Amino acid sequence: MHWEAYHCVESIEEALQLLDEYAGASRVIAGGTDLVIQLKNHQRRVKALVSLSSIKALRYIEQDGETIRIGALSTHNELAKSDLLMEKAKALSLAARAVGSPQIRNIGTVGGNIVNAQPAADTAIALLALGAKAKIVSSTGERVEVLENLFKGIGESSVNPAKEIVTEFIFPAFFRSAFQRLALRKAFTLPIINVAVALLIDQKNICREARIAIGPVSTVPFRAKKAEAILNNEIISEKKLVLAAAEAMREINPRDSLLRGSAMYRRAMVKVLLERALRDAVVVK
Amino acid sequence: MEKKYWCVGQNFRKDGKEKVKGETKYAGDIFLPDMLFAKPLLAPVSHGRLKTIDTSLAKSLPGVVAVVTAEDIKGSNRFGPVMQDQPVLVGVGEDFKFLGDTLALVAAENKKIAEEAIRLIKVDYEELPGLYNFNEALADGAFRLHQNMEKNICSSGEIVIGDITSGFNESDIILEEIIQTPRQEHAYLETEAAVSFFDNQGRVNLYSCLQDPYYFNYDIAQALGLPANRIRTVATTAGGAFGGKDDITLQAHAILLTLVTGRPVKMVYSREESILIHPKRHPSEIRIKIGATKNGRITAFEGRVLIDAGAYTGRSPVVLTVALNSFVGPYYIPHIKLYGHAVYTNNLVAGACRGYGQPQSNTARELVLDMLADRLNINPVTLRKINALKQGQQAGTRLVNLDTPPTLDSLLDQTMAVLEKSPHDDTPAYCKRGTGVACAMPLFDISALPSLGLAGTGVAIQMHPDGSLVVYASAVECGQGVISVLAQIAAEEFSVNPGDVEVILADTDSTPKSGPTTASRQTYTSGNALKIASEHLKKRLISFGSRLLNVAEEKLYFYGGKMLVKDGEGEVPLSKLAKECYYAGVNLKEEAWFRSNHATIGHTFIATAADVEVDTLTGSVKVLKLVTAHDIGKAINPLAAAGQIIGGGMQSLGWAMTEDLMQKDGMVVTPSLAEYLIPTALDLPAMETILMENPYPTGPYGAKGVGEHASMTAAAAILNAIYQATGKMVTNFPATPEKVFNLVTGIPESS
Repeated sequence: MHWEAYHCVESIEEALQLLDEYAGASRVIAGGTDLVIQLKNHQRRVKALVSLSSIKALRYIEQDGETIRIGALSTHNELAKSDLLMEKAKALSLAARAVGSPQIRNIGTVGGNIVNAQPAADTAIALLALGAKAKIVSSTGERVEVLENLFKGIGESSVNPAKEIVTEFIFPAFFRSAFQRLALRKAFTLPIINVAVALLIDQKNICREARIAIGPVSTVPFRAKKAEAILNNEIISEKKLVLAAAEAMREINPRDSLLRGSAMYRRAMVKVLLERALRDAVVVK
Repeated sequence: MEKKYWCVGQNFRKDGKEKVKGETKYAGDIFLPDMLFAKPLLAPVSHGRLKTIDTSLAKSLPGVVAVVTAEDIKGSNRFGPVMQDQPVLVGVGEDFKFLGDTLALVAAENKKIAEEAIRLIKVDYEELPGLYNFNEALADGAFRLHQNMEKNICSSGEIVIGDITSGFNESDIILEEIIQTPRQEHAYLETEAAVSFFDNQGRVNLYSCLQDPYYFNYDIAQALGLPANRIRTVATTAGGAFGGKDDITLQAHAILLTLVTGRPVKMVYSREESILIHPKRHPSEIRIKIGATKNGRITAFEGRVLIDAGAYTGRSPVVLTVALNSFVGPYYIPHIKLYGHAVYTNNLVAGACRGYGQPQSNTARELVLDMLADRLNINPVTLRKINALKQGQQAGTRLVNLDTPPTLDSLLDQTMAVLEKSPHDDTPAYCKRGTGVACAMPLFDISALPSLGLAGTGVAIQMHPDGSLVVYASAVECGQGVISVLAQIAAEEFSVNPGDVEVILADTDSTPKSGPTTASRQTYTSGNALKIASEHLKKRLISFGSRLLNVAEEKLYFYGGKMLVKDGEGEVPLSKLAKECYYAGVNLKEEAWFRSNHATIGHTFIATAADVEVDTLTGSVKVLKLVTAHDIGKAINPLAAAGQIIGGGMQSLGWAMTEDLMQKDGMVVTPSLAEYLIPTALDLPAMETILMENPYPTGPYGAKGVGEHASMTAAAAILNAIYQATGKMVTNFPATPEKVFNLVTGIPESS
């Protein structure tokens, strides 16, 4: 691990100014649970690190009318403990609980989990299903992106951590959502498959909007749009849920992995987990 | 009538407070003035010939003090507990045989510089084809990994009792199965660490976490070309060992660098280095052919054990011997034929790992017994009881003499009674519950085998002029609690507070040779030696006391820190007695030697039951409960004993469910604890331990060994529970969700 300077900043403005001064040679660090390992293994090199951990203004979870706003520096543990998320965004609440260990959940942030862009990042899968948008600032301005536009490849996001900072995630409060995860042990391990679903079901039991996210079955967190189409504008029934789960199984393309299991098995598990998640989402609220 | 003890049988922890507070000093916590930090350069591939090694660039890096290679070694440059065939450093022109071979070492002013310098060493090598499984290694025409051996067979063994052919002729049913067991990593909290430095007499001092100071001292000395008395080895408190610290790793390297630089040197393995370098639990392939009558009497047992020794001999010949001698376990089978081979490959070196070959052969046998019970339509518990060894019967090993009545029936009953009491929660329709059992007759103090040359154990005890006691033993505290147990034994003998007894462990300058802290042996061996030494010292004190108090020796006894006179008025506190001895010139230090019976070794009985829930749609298995009943002889420290049984059960659960240090074509698929998955606290099932006390004639206060034993049954109980739940046996564990799913849905396993 080599860096010349480690800056702890108090504000976003200060952070952006430092990033500009280093002109691409520095990098934002939040919890560091992924970045420090990458630096240690010489997978990344930086001249300086700009730590956002002291910016209290980026740690909040709140409802604003029909919208939920989460400060990007909120830790997984803060997400997991939030009653608001358990009630209005269960998928995200459960996903945050599934991340790493207590130590990692205490320090790792939701913003970092997204920018690190792993195809099976638990909160990425949940936020993708919840239709989240990310607010990103730089010294030249601010942009808002839907989450799927952020993911470019394994470990690659469109956020440039040498220039930009993710400040907030915004998503609707009206979904019924659920999260399912299959792994080799109960905690502190990567998933074999994780899925999140978010459904907007009206009073006539018609699904107005279905969103399904699956990992790790592609180079990025995957939206199962064909499966969603089976549910959209249909009356929710057990039969429809099963059909949608079966469709998702067909539209994914997992790889064989010595650690995570064969493609055939993981494909089968997408169906099982999705059925469970959809049933769970339908009965909640 | 149960004997009343002063403090034996009580829970006592001498080193608990310091450990909980994080104050205990481990080898990695030692910092000395002027100390260098060292790093190893490991083999780039699993098998290759080292053509040249250029260290000039690394040497020129500021802060680098030394870069050493095999040329710098004056001794044999070879070490090993059975055959000295493993290089300290691989030399130019020699072959490196596995990923944990070390080619060069750097000592630098700090860790960062050492790491940077390692990357500047240029190695030119020729990659050689490798042997990565039993078939490749045993094939006709396979190249030989060790030129002095005829084949890639490191060692072989055979046990024949009765006549196997007539045994099968007497049977109504014959079953043949192959069980494959995975390579297990010890995954101790503390990775290997060592600090070495010169003392005032120019001797090298080594402080390191290791399990046998005298073995390390002697073997490192010859490998580096020093007389053994020029090295002092101190085994520091180890943060877990489980057999993985029974073999030399970085200790020889640290000493070598101190010899070259003259400065104190510290070396600490990263987790990734630790995983590659220290020996693992042998992966095995075990073939069992078993014959039984219709009413469940087993008449014949033929078994073949193949274990993957990896690149060097290590302890494989002994591990194979122990695997074979515990293969038949706690059952009477009149006709047996057991044989096996330890096989050299270019995989990671295998060696001692909690149970020493017994978990592999015992687990395989217990799985096959459940499959046999199923074929015979007999309850698995009943099948085990029908075949349980009875006193006077021949065990499946000549190393065991049934000197106490076997207790398997009772252990099974107690285990099942506790398991059946557990409430059955609502299980979803897609989940299936199952309970499984497994038994074993674990061996302990196997080091008593004459072939190992490690049979004896010395312990000394000294009383200071104020009456306070110090015990000197070369046992190693690795979390198991030996320091507490030895303090309790001394306190019991002299009837003093165990908290007031000091215990000095594992220093070749001051503690007698105690043999390795392995094989579940130290309570038994050091405990016995300490008892003998204490008796000698007490005898001398009584002789002196009888003159001092002017009473007959037979009337004197120790109680509550005093020497008392039976039915009399006289008494003298130990502090006064010791002071009088001191001025009278009476020797108050006694050293004693304990040696187990040469012909047979200690054994015990254990039964474990597991309750599992299998999600048939995903193949996920939840272990809900593990109950273990252990015929422990006498629990000197019941909580520490239960801790060993729970910890061993947990390690075995990991082996059954998730742990597989997987290698594919020589590459390690699980190089860190992110990929190699040990159970977490959340994976811990409800666990209950039953300590059955049935004093062992040769044990101290009747105690037997306990440290390894739960690792011989828990995995099998869990896998048998999965079998009872689903009707399918996982014959190549760990039982990952995918394997269980494929079995339940009938999908053939992909290659």
